[in-house]
Amino acid sequence: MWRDAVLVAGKDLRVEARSRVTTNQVAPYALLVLLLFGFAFDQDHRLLVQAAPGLFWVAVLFCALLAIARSFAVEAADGARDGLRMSGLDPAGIFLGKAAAVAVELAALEVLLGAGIVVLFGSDLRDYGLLVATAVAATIGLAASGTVYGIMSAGLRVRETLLPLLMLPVLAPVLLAATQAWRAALGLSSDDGWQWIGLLATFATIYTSLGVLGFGALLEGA
Amino acid sequence: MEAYVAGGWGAAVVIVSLYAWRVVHRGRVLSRSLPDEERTWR
Amino acid sequence: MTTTSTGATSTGAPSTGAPSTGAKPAGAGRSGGSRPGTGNRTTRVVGVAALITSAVTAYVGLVVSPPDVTQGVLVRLIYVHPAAATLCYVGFGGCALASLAYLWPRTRSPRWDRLAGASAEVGVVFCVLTLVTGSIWGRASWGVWWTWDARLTLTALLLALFLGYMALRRTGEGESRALRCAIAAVCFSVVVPIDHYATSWWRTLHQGNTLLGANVKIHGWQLTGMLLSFVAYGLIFAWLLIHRYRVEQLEDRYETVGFSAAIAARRAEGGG
Repeated sequence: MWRDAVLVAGKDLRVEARSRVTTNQVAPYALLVLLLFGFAFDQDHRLLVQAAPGLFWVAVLFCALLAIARSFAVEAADGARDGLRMSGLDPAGIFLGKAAAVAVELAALEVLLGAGIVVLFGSDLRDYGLLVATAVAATIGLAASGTVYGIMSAGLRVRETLLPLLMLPVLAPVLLAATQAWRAALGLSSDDGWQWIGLLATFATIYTSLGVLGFGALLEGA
Repeated sequence: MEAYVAGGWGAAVVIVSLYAWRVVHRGRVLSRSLPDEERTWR
Repeated sequence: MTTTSTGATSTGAPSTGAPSTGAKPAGAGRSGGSRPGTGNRTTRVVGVAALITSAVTAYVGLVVSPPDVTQGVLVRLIYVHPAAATLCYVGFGGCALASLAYLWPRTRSPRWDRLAGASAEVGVVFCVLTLVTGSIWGRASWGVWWTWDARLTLTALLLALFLGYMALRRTGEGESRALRCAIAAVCFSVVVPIDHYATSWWRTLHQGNTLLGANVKIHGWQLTGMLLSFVAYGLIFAWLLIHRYRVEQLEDRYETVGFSAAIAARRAEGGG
């Protein structure tokens, strides 16, 4: 299973590295979203600093949608999904591999967006441990749940519109928890940020197990 | 305040009856285009 | 063969105020003699019972029961809101359980898939009803149509989840759709507890459960009315669920049988 996961993750990341879609399109898109938030808040500096954690995670969410759609679009062309199905790889391994590839892309985008909120919004990063722990737990949850819903809508004609409708309500608690944890980490609230990490970790664990259990059936049906 | 009470009750009646009509109507239309044996509950 | 006027009278739609009469519709000359549709004796009995209890609830709630000391006449909304919320959760829970039953290899059957679909859709209707009545109540007692309270947010999230589920049900067909939807329903239900904690840590303002709470402040006619409203809503729910389940069954058959049957009928007409 793990060997298959490494294989699939390596393949997906190689596809991304060669096509440069993530670097040339998704990353500029992410920065553009931050810029647009700046316009929406009319450069009100205090408001931007207050809202920065939420805006950051909303931007990550949008990027996650693109990354997931992209991750299954590469399988749609040339019957690659049939190839994946017939390859004899463990479906759980395929799931873990695709989710890992998405997680790596998202992590890179989060670093970029983090730099973006520091530069554009003037956020003051403080508790690095909490920031990184939140990002890791949230990213695993985003990637795992996204991969589940990605394969669920992969074979359908309406997938472009269906995927956000399926994913966004599910990811709402992730957005909420990650935002609250980051608010604590950026010194914007006096809450204990770590209780939110527990929630994020639970979410990530649940969706990783669901994906490992159900991906085979979903891949057959797609 | 009475208006809110009327609004709440009215919303309940309207939403439930609209949906009930929709379901019953859809069932009628479908069952007309299918042979009677398909309606196993008769 | 004149089957044009099948006399579309209400088959006992609850709370429309139009009780179902047992009268045969005009064009009952179809083969078999039963009228088209998803009704039968069971649904008529449930429908009439739902109408009667709805009427009694309305009488108790709007006429008999006195205004509340603190809530005033607004307390009369207690007969439309909490029961709808409960039935909304029943619908979504039923969808999750039916989906689990479908996924379990020993109990896999298209019946569970239909039940899950019917249950989710009726649940969505009650969820909308919950949000609408809750919003009206909130405007009257808190002064705002919407507030970011934990339970409100949770209900809105649930609605969004199940609207996605309904959209997923409308795509594809056959066993692969059933399997996909069943997995989706399970994936959706497991986030509900997480949503619950996330929203309740985030905000809490809503008044506690009225019936189950430790300090039961409600009594007399109010309690009678509220319990009646649960019975009435429950019957309406059952009536809608049965009809919707049968529509689902007809839709399944329509995809396979209906098309060829329609062609055969046209051929027969042309030949005769």
